[in-house]
Amino acid sequence: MLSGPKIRRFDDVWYLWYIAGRKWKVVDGRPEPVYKIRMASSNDGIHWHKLNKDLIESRIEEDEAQASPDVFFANGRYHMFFCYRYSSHYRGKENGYRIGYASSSNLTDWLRDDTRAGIDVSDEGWDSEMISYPHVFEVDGQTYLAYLGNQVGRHGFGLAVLDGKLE
Amino acid sequence: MGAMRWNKLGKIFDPTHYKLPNDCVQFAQAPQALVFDDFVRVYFSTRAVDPGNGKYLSHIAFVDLRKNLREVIRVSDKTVIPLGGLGCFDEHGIFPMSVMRHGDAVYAYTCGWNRRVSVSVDTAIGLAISRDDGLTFERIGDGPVLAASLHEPCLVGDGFVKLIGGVFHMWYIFGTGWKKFAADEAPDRTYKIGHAVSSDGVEWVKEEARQIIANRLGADESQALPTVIEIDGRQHMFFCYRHSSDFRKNKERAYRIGHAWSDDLLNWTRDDEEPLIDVTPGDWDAEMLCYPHAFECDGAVYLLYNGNEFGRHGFGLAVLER
Repeated sequence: MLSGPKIRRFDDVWYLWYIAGRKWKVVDGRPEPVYKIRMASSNDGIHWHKLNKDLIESRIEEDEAQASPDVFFANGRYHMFFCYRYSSHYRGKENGYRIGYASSSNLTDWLRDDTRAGIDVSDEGWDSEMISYPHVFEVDGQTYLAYLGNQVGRHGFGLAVLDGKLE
Repeated sequence: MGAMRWNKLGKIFDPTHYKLPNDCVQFAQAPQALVFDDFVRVYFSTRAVDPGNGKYLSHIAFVDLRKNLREVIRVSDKTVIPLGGLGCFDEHGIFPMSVMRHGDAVYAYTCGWNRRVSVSVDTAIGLAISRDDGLTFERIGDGPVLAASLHEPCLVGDGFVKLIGGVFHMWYIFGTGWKKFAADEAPDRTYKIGHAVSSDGVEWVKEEARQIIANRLGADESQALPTVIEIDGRQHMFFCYRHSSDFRKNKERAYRIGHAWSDDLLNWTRDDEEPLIDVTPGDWDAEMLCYPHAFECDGAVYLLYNGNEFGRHGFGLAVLER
């Protein structure tokens, strides 16, 4: 499995963040996919050179699945928002997707610190069980985060706005 | 050099006469030789039934033959290489597996099969290495070393590798697509022979969808299992080819063994209007000839190949006369 491409261009180089399947893990007789965040670069957007390394250290368990890496440059650093979940029983609140955060100065070495993601599930409502598939963008000087809530987007997506600075 | 032709020596191995590992019962397909000082090991793909759904799983086994290539010394009784993991490219079979010595190791290029939903299967090429003279093989990774790419959308397989002048050359097949030839038939595939090079046998650069062997049966000709051998200073390729539809039961459209030659490893001249080997009416290879493998042993050049029903009943041998 290679999926979830996110393309960015920094300093005339194309960067592709994607997720690479590591294995299928059988949970209660059902194969569940485990995937990790990786990166490739290209000068033309067609021929790619894979870095061949997991960018984001697994935090909650070895088989943590990571998805939707979205990299945003601000204040001299690269900031990545992504989502992660447990490998089993992740379709509910307890083991479901949360949004994580990492930063880097060189695009290849990333320091994960989910406490800086700045967003968590709500106490109630459409995003009370999971939050996933973040996308960060800027409009008119404001930085926004679009993301999915419960049931991974079955009922639509939501928006958050950044208070403070990414640094 | 006079005209080459293969002199048939008959069927030499019938898988139903032996107990095979992995609960396999029939098929000895795509025989591939590894020559030792005092015997010849021939790997082949044999089949077990998947208990989950009754479909086939192809496993690798081998038979050790005395150098007369008739007497069986033994048949493998253990797993030579396990099938790939859940969801991996070689989960449902390895067929064929092509071996070559490299230093003290034996490299095996595997064609891994995985079932699909809209069509029956996809394939890719993996690499596994043996450090025990070919008794067992270990993958260098769970994924393939050569797989579908921008202009080779499916069915990359049948890798045959030779180290020539310090460069690894691979001849392999790539799918050009699937087509439903008749309303009541499942889609059938077409593939052609391509070429890739590598400095280490692991990282490959394809010529990317350059078909190196001309069609003789038109665009819907499928070409498979290239094997390349140097004979009197010239590279010779043997392969099998057939029509892409109605090829399983119709002997006129079934596999035959083709031939091409090259002096530069890039340009190949197809030369099989007069076949070097043909079907024998009434015999085990009366309807088809497929999955050739050419090798040299004690100064003679041999061809292993399968006959009727894609090798369900074993493989045979021919020797080159020139």
